[in-house]
Amino acid sequence: MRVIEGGEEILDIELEESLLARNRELAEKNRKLLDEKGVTAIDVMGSIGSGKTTLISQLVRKLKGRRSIAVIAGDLTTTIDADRIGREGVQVVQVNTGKECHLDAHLVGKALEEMDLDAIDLLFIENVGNLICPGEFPLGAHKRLVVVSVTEGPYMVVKHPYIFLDASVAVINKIDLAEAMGVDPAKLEKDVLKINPSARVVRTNALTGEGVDEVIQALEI
Amino acid sequence: MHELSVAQEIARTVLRIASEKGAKGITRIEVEVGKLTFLGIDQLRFWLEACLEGTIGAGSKLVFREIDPVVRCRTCGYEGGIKEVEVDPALHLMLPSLECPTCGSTDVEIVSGRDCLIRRVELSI
Repeated sequence: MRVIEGGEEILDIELEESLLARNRELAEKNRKLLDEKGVTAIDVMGSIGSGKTTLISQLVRKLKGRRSIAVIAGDLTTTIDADRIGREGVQVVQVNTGKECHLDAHLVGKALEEMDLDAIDLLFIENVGNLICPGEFPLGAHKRLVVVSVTEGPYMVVKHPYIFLDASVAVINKIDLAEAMGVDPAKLEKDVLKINPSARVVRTNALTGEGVDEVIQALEI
Repeated sequence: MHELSVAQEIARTVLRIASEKGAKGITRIEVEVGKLTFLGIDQLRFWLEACLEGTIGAGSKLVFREIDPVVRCRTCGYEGGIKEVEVDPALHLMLPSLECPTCGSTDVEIVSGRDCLIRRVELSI
């Protein structure tokens, strides 16, 4: 609509320009490619030091006999995580985000191009350690797994509710340290279920492998 | 969290539109921010002002509107506001919950509240 105001013309333009749509479109493209190749992808999110890499290593160890697995390891600059998971003898692609605090669908799409998707049927995508930013950027994965650990204190879930809205499975890790930390895992579990009642919550000690079978069941993989 | 990159994208978009229309200035920009995004409006305003500095968009009125989340229940067909729950009375903290506020079903999907949109740009020609 055009409005004339005191000799100066004002042009009023209505838009519906989404600023987050670009990532969502790329995520859908990734999902389509994964579906065509028959690959189930799991986006593993969690805070720094919560045990994402250790949990993925355990999942790979338990599943590699019956599934063909690859891992995308997201990190700022190092290959430490990729090296650790690589020791399990599966295909690992390192994605270094530089300074970016999350993976996005574009970076994952580039990683998928590098991979032999015909040779795999299960893909773990380890996101950058962060409970905020990855939540905004779907990658095209079929399921999202969120890892928190008792060493992060009792408020990790209530402080970061939004990330749990999309989680199929929430893992409460380092369960062996709960008593020493004075953190009640049942409370963390209750918090997750209040936010997302259909999420599956599993308690683990990823170092020893305790609870990892339950994570596999919860993910239905 | 990503207010700077979103602000840059807003600035780029409105400046592109302004240049396509041959505008002399940008007088008003209206942006809608869903409450389920991870974007803070104060930070977004701060960065957008910074991004527009030195351009024809400098000094334009920035209007941000927060959009309430809407959910849809696949069981009973409810469509409306998201349920909020108090997790811990001691914390006085209300959190969004994906439980249907009417029938209690957990088969609930988010319809809106996750987007960030440029809704309107006003240009002086």
